[in-house]
Amino acid sequence: MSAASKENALITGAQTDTSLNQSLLGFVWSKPTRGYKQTLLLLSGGVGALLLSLFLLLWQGVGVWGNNHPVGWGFDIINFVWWIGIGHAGTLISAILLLFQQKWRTSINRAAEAMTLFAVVCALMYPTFHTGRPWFDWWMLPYPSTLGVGPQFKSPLLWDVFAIATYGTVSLLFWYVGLIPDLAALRDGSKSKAARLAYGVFALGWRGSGRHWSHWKLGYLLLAGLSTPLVLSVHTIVSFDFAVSHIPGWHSAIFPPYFVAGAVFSGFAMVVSLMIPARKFMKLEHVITLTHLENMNKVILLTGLIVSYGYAMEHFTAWYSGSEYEWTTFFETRTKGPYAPLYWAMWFCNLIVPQVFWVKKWRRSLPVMFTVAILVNIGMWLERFVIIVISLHRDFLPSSWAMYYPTPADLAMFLGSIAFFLTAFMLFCKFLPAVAVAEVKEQNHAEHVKGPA
Amino acid sequence: MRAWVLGEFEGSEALLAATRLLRAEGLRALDTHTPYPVRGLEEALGLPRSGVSTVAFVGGVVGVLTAYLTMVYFNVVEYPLNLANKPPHSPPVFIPVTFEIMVLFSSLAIVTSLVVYFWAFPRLHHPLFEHDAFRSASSHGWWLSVNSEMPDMVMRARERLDALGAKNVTVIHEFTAAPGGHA
Amino acid sequence: MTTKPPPAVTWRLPVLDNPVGAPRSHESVYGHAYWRSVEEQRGEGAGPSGEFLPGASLLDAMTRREAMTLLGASAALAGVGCTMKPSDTILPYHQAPEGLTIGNPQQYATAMSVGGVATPLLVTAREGRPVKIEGNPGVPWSGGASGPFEQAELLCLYDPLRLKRFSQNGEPVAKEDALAALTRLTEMASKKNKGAGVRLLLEPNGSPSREALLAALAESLPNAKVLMHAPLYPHARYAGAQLALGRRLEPHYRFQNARVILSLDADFTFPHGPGLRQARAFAESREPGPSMSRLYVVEPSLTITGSMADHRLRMRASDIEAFTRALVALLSRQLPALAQVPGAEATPASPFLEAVAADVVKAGPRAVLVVGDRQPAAVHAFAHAVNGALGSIGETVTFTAPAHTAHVDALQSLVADIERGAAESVIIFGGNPVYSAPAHLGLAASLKKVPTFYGGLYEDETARVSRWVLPASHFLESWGDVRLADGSVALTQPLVEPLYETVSEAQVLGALLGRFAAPAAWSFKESWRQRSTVTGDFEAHFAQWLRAGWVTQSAFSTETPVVNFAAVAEAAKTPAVEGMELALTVDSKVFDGRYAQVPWLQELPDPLTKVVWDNAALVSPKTAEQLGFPKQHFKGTDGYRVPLLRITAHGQSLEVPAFVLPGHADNSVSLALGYGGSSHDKTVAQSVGVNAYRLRATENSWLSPCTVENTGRHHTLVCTQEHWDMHQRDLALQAVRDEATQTLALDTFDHFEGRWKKKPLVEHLQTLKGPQPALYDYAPREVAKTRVEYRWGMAIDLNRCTGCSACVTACYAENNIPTVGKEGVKRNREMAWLRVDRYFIGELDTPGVITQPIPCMQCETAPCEYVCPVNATSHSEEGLNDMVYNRCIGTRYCANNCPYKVRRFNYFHYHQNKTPSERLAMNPEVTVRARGVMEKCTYCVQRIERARIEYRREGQAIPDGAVQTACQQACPTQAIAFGNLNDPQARVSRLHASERRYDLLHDLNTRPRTVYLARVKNPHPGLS
Repeated sequence: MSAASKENALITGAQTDTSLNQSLLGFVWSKPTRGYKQTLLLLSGGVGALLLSLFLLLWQGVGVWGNNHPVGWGFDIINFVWWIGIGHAGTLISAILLLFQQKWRTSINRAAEAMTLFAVVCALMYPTFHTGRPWFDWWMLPYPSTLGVGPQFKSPLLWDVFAIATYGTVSLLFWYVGLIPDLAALRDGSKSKAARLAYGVFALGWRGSGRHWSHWKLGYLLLAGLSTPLVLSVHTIVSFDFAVSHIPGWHSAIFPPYFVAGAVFSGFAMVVSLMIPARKFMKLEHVITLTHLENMNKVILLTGLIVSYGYAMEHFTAWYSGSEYEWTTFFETRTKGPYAPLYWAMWFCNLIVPQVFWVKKWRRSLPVMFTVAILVNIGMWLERFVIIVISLHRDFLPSSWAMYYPTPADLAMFLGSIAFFLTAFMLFCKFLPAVAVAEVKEQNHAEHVKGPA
Repeated sequence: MRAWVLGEFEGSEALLAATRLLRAEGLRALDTHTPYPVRGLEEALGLPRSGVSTVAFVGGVVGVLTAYLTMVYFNVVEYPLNLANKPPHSPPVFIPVTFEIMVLFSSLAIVTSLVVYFWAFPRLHHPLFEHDAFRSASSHGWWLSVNSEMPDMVMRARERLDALGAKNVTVIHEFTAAPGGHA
Repeated sequence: MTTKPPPAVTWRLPVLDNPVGAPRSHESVYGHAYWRSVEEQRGEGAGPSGEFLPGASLLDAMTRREAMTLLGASAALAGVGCTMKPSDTILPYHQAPEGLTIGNPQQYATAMSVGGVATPLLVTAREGRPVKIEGNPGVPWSGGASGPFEQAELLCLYDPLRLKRFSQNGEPVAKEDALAALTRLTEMASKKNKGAGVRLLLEPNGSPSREALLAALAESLPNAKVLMHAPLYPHARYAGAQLALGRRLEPHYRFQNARVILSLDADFTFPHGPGLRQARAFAESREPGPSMSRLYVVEPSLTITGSMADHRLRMRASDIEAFTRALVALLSRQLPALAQVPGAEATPASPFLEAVAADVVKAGPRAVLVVGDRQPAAVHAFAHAVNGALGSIGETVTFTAPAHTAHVDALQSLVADIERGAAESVIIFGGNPVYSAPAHLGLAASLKKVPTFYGGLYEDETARVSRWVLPASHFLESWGDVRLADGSVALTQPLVEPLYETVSEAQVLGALLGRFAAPAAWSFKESWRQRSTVTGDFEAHFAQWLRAGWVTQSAFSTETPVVNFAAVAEAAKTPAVEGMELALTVDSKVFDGRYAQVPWLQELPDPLTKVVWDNAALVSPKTAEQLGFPKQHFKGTDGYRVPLLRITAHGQSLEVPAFVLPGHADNSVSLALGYGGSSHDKTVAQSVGVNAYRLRATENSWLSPCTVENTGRHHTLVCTQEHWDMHQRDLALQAVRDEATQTLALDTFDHFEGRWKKKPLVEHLQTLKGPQPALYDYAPREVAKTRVEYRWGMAIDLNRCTGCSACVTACYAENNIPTVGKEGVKRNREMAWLRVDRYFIGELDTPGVITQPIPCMQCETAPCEYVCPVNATSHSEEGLNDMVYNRCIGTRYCANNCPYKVRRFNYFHYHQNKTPSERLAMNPEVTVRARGVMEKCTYCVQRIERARIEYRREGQAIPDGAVQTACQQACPTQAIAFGNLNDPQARVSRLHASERRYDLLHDLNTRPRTVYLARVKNPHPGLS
């Protein structure tokens, strides 16, 4: 192996099936550390805040949030879009990179997919509760109602319902199908009877049979093939929530591609920011290498540029349209309005910051990429704030212009959802293989052809 | 009385070679048990192309029809309302949901058919699991199994596996007939 | 006298037998118009309560909860409004008044008078409870309009904080004992010096029946003094007439005949009493065309009248006398009649003054000067002189005797009498004088020294210092009569039995007369019968008066006074105010303070400042700069964080939040009266505003010198509109009329070229109306035009809209709209379905103001509809953008996508804590929305449906005018037209076809059914 290829190796060290087995599943068998427990305890406080804010919401109504007239959507939809964007990375990595046969997907896809699922759950929380009366949400489903009236399929919100539900379901299936062989490994490696039973149930009886694998490979590939347009469609449809309306700042044809790019951008940033600590604490540096992280940083750079192009295009369209309302939204309200600092912070985080990744050294530097990833996450949150709140708070009639401020309940729910997300991720790492063991072994095998133990 | 003859090989290449050989020798009901898919095993085992793709296609078509017809029923047939002066039947606005439901149905069909039909899962207990060493099949072991109801065939398989250098060669008998199940 | 107690389970309905009905009504809907109850009460059937049958009270024989159950059950029978099954036994409604069909509304004529200002009313009752107050179009004087105050009386009636118990020294007493104490008082006082120690303090209302009672009282207590007092009484108006015309006369302006109007500090379109009629007459004079009038306004602070002006001169109120003298001096050169009145030359002469003088002379008898009630008598006298010299008297202004009089120093003399021992007992009914008295008068301390009887609606400041407190009946609960401004008598007919044990003023006076013990001896009707001069059947006449709401032909005869120029010439010069001027103003929301408890009004944005739940010291930008706060600090949800000013006048000081109002005069502070009552309830008006009465010099002073300092501390003011300019958008359009060519042109901003352009109005509006081509158009809309019988539409004439906000209150009342409180408005969650946008145009110091009412536009391609995921909002065939409340799940997407931002979301369950009495005010035809539901204007669809039912039964089409939306009905200037666009003769169709019509946000292609007509300014050619 040449030096260059060694540096870019996706699995470092001389690994065997056994060693990979030990290192990749080791975290599941190890006793939880004190730090792990303390972190969980801390996060459970956040989850408590989430539950408290939801209780308050259900008890009193949406008024506990900062939403008002004219800003009907605030933190609820900002966070929904933010989370659903984050939830794009996993399936994208799993599906699209699989289709493109990118080898570097294998070490990170499992954790990324889990992230996707948790992010989708976090995202779903917002539209579910944002009506304040979630017990009526089922009216959006096409059931045979005695009233004869059903859901209204022209509404992008309804498209959302189906898109998110499908995305969540398909992501779960995709993740689970990929997990079955590893669950079997956990079943077979477990010492206690309870663990063996628990993993056994979820492994469904996997025996690694040639027939199993034959169906598995095709089924997995087909799911990947379906997930790829799905993942693109989901954020496209989320963007329709805005693009189909006619509020200046929302009504824009560039939204679908730019939202998808933004979703990948923020999703990858979230994967990077989670992977950096996770690979350290779970001792996975040999399979989640700097090369993986560097590749993701390249994607962040690329999608960051696409997103910035989207911003530029919006402004160009506003200027070119000659519409007074568009002009005001983009060149007055955003740039000089009361929320202008957030707007400029968005440009900084999403355009300026990722440019450091042109430099290879920084692309491979953990502190740099962690900082960038966090800033990108903040920047993408700000983007949603800019799109939703800034567009709504000043639209057509200046008489109705007003400010929006979040309330403690808003913040509790937002921070609580982050805590929930991290809790779920930590529990996932503890109970399930955070890396697709079978696939890594397969890849390891392919790279070291003569390497049987 | 069914029985399985199990043997563990040193690596995927050995397993692959043994499979090819045994199949050439006319042994049927061969199966391999590997921690990850091995290229060439399908041909070695003589497996046909999986039918999952057909199921996926049918699921997708059913999804498209279900979604579109449901929407037409609710918004056009049962309760057409004037909304923003748009026609009740507006095909473009039905596209997103149609697409989503197609993906959903297709994916569900794939997974359901895999689990229930192609894999015949869940099968939480299987005679092979009786063999303790077989637990390595999901992590680092390369196993070959021959399934037969004929005692002489079982004997022959056992001899051949020994001869091919397999470790942990075992015969597992099934005392109660389990419903269904291929391998 | 025998009284038979009624069976406990019967529920008698109140005296509701004189429905007026609309002209279109027929008997089966509104029932036969009989008049029964007064007849009954005259006879033996009368109970001890004096005015009503025993057990007849709605809330007497049963708890209010039971009454609510009944109401709920009846509403359920009507199939509307009720979502809960009654959990209690349902009682049969078996003693219903004749003609009442459960579920059908009934309308009755009545009238109200507050502080001397009277309005004839038409009140809608549902199953015996008043639910909506409107103006009475049947009274010629009225025109049928109603202002915010009239609407708000409904909430006063049902106010849970009303006084409910009689008390002596704070201890509860029986009603009989309280009234017996009054009788005893008369008996003792008549023996002692013929009642010289008795003082009655009443509000002026010109009531003939009260006059009869007072005359009877004067027989037994000839030396007793009756003092008439109202804190906002226009004393100067009559003093000015006395000076110039030789007697106290009431001017009636006929603006419809006027070509030039000069308002000297007169807010003559103020939506109350005569202002309602004046606003309509003024609006008629503003029809663009050769006879369009021109309005000049000279005033310190912006008023709604000032915002309508073609030319407005901001000037301190105390400088207006000098302005008037200068004008007279100019005019006297050309009007020989004025030669005797010297006036005073202005130095230097202003172009404004010269333009006014020239215009006034040119218009001759068709010019008119109007003077505000704050101005001293001299200014009124000068105006009369000018009007007389122009020949305007009889043409644009007529005179009658005033409807009533009041004592200019009632409180002062009362305090003086108490202090010197002349007054031994005081009887006060209504008005809360302790609150509105000037602080230095010491009225509260004086009243404590003598036995004081106070009849009032609330436990207010006066109640606290009175020995005897008598809960007063609301006017909707009592019989009476009032005089309208032209002297005609309107009858106050009760719509409901008193909700609590209360007394009316007539009962108090009756008790003083000793007639309480024999209640049958006096009745309202008998009083009228005795004084009646009608020939023929009195019964028939009386029934007719009640049905019509007024005593026909009872107006005073018009007088044609002659101006005494010599007397005017000698009018005393009021000393000018040096330094800072404090100008007290009448508030358009709380009036003299009596409506501070009404949440509808507290939450009604001030027409100009848009401030809610507060009063503020209005100052000009320049004065603000001098006081050290050049900028209005804007803090979003914190509202306006404004500095607190300490205003000192007449030795009293107050800390008042400051508010910078463009167009305000420099060195002047305007402060509204009526706020800051100390007794206001915690939940409604506590710590709302400051009590400016404390700064009054005397009980009728308005302008005084003051000192103002910035305390450095701050207060939060809340506004419903934070942006004051239109950002050069074509929103509320205003054209300018060229007098020479009779053409209309407007300034519009060309966004491509980035500059203002003057364009012919008609040409520009062509681009702002009609449907635009759409990519995705749906043919059924076009089909619907011909197939559907009604296509509802609305037109709002900005040229008529003064921004008075009567429509907003009417909408609240009609549609059960909740109020959200100051905190709610601060969070921008006010629920108004109809709001009045107010924009400033031009310079900070001389701004143009334009107001634009914004209801739902009922867009034909409504952006809200297609985004709702559950079909909760959709389009009716007739063009209404319907909202299905019980289908709404609350995504708020529709509100986001509404470009007009007229949808309102229930962020909380605002109706949750309504008391049973407050619930009685609810309109059962409109769903009470729960939390989490979007709500909006639907052109009062309940009124459309009711009319449809009525006319369908007759097999007729709904004629134009048969359906009036609540906002339209209330509008004093008839700026709002509503009707069927398929009827080319309908007013709304004619306005839709007007060349001044345009669609708001036309380029969005929403195709609104509500359209606007551009306002037209008629500037003087030499001034613009």
